[in-house]
Amino acid sequence: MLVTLSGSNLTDASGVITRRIQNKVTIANAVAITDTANHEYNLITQGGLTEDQIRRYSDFKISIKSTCDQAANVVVYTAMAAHNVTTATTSGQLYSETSNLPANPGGFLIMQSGVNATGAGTTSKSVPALKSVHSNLIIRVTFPVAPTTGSVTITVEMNG
Amino acid sequence: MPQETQTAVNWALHQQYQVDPGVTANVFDIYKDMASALVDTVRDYFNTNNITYSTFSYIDLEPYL
Repeated sequence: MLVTLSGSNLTDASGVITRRIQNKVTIANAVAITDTANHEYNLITQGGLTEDQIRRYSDFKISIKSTCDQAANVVVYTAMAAHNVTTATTSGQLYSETSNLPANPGGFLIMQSGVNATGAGTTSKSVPALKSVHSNLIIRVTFPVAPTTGSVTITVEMNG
Repeated sequence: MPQETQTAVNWALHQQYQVDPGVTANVFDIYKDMASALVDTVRDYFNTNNITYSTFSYIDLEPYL
């Protein structure tokens, strides 16, 4: 798929306009987490996409909403294509930060490839590695203190 | 899911949900397709009635809708 930097369509050599592809999947739909265990969600197992489908996209934005009464740690992994594309591995870790998903209110976290400008929200994170080809993305959510209320929703927007 | 889940879901569908705490205008009736609102309110029912439960999500509530 060929596009200009502004997002407009390019034509191929024969003059046929190529089209951008975009998609959005929810990989965690209002999960009421009750413990301190690692909870992992990925585009294949929960998103229902195949490796081939995921590799058609080259830019990803991950949005997380939490209405829980505790903060959580969120880690983003890319799949190890030479290993197991649904397993989170240390070498595949793209982004990690403690308590990056705040407790409610304000329980929002966005991870995207662009560079944030002055005044950007503190829970909008720039992860340049999200602008790449991935065979899968795995998001791990861990609450150091188990929440007693609320839920977590994770959505991934993809641009190709 | 706890045996009280159907009761919890039925109760939750008659409640209102405040999207932004402290913002009065953002209070809505709960409908079946409001995943986060429904799950949060069912969880509140479990907590209020001292019902033991483990991690669950909207998909677990769908059979009760």
